[in-house]
Amino acid sequence: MCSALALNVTLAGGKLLLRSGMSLNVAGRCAARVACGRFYSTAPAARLSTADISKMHTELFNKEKERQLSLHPRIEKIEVKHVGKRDHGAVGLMNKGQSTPYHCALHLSEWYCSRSVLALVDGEVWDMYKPLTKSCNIQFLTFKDEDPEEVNKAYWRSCAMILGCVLENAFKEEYMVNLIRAPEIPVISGAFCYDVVLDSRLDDWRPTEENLRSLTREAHSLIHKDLPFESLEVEEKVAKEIFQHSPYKLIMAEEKASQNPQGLVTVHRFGDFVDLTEGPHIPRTSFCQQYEVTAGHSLANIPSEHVRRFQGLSLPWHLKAHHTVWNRLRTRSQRLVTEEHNQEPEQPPSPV
Amino acid sequence: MRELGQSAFRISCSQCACPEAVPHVCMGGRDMALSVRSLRLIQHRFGFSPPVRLLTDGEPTKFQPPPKPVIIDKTKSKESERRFLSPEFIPPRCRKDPLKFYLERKDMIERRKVLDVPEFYVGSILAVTMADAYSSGKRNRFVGICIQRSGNGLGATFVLRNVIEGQGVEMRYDLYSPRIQEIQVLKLEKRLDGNLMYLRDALPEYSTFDFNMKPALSVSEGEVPVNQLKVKMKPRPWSKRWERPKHNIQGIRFELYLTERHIEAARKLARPWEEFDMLKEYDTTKIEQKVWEEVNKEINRPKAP
Amino acid sequence: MRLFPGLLISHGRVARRLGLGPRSRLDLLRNLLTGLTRHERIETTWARADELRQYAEKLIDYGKRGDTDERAMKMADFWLTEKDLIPKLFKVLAPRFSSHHSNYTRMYQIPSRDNVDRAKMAVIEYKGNPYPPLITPKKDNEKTLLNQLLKGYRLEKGQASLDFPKLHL
Repeated sequence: MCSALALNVTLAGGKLLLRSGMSLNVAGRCAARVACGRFYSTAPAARLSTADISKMHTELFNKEKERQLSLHPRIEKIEVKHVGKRDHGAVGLMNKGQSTPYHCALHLSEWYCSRSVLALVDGEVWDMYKPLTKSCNIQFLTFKDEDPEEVNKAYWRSCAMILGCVLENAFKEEYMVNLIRAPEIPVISGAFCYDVVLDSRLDDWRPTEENLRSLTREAHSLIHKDLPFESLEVEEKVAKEIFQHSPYKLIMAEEKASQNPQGLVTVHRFGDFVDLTEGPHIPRTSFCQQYEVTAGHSLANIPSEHVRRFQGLSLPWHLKAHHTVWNRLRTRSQRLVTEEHNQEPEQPPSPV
Repeated sequence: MRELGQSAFRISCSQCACPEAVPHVCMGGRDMALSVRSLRLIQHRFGFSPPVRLLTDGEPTKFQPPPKPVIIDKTKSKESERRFLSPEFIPPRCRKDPLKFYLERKDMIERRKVLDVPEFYVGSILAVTMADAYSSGKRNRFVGICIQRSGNGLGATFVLRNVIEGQGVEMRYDLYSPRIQEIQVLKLEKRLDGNLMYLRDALPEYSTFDFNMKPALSVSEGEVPVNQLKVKMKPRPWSKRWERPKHNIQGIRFELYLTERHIEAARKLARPWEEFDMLKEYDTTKIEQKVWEEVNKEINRPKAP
Repeated sequence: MRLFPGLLISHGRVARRLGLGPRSRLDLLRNLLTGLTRHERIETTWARADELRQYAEKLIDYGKRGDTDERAMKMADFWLTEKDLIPKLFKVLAPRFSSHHSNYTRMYQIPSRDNVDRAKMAVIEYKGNPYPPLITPKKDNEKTLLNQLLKGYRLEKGQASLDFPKLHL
């Protein structure tokens, strides 16, 4: 009953339930306190606020990054050779452990800087902002390559990560938000998604059109900030330290560490948001142009918790869609996507 | 014997579907409905057609000697018959809606179901009977050589020329005019040219034909005979300079009238490259085939009750 | 309806006047056609190429009639001023287009010639020539993000590309 009341109050008060940004953090919290104070006089004491957690994340991340940089006190040079249709065979002398593929792209031309989504370093998919560690051949991947599958996956992953960041910061302080993970959904399914477990008081809440729109606005503000995606390979211990407050991430970090031969876990960060994901990401948030959070579903297959799946649709500025096309894709993306949908239905080629 | 004289494309004896392979005379004409029955009776009784020639002008029937019997080879198949599509069926090369020509063709076929329009060419000798309110017997028969065929569709015409009492007479007939009652081919042949307008400047003997000319028997197979006649002309100047290459006249004995200077002047006007200008060609073979099938189907279709 | 010559030409109703007269026009086109048959891709003014194109296609039609056809031989003899090209027409070009009905040539506009008279220029070529293509063929972009989304949409709708064509990017 209490949650229902809280929802009523917040809906009456407009955008109170969903805060519009980090800058409004304090004001939003105060407003929420004023609105709901009579019902919830004490916030859960054991839990840190979202802002504190993200601050801690950032600090730990920065510390680890500085530690890793300090492993290379002397600048060592590596030779990076470009492979591609144009500028084939261009060799650059880069700094080991400091230079990223983006720096190589800066040496080539602006085209590579603006179009490259990922780099292929000796056949391995590499983030654009991940430092190079040895002499290698480098190839830049774009959205319009002949086989942009890796790029599409990375884009979908990054969009899901933005969605996770939005979800984490969207709710008021007293509502607990536990991010689970972003399932790897193939692009052909039509939407990316992020699974979360919300506070038990919000179990009856269903995201309305307006709520989704406000989430979308939040995401657009992130995109507008043009935040870089940074990646860091850390040991399992450090990863566990970073994610000590989120149980799902802890499990995931363990899994990842057990899969990796050196026991390393790759952590990604953009802005203040640190996350564990499946693979490399796009360079910057500004690569997204059209972005919309389209639906939030409750997953019924896990009985113990109320897991929600938020879905969205996005397109980079390299591939724009006409608004009619976009609307159709958007309507489609509202359907619940599942990981089992991976295999596209084999259809006989119909005569045209 | 349903369509005696109804075959649209040829005057053929095999068309009459006589039961016996006997020599007989083919009678072109449809104004003999009464006599046809008696004919059949006689045929049936005697096994051959009677030596009768019916004049169409309403003249009293006199005794006429029987024509020579012609042996018709009935073993020859229908496919070996000459195919002839009247030139006015072929639409001109233009951007008009083909529907127009299709509709006109339908009307032409309707007319051909009523009137037997025989196969004839420029150079053939025709007798045309026409309704004429002012002549005696309300009909008028004219015999002459066809010197021109022109027009297409329902507006197709042909010109007959004859010299009557020293005066050249030319009659232009609309092929599909409702006033035409009968078209009879007296002599089916071609000439060296497709247009015999030069007969106006030729000696009158070349365009003088007897009104009482008897129709020669036509052959429905093989090529139409080409009359290789070359005409003598009246002295120059002619109505047109027929020696010029644009007329491309073969049937005049130019050597009698032209000096070297004339021939040289005419040769200068020749445009020998025009035959290689592929864009000026109008290949009608495919259209002809299509129209032929269409027309043939329509003509052979039995009338709706 | 009466149209002025430019409009008539653009609608294929009349031919352009080229050269110094009807004879000169054919001679000019004849030389061009000989060049086209020899090199299979030539560069000339737009107007000439446009006129030439129809003759080039008709000549192939004649070539398909075979070298035993008298009329075809006469045509080839007239249009190909260099006689060593006559076997090429019958033995190379005609078999090449034996499975086609028309459209044996391709024509592209190229930048106007700068040095003389700013004439509109064109490249005309016989299809299937050995040169590299003038316009690079479009890549198969089925796998881009947007097209994958659209493909999923089509598959879901159960109708392949009927009302929702692939976007060419």
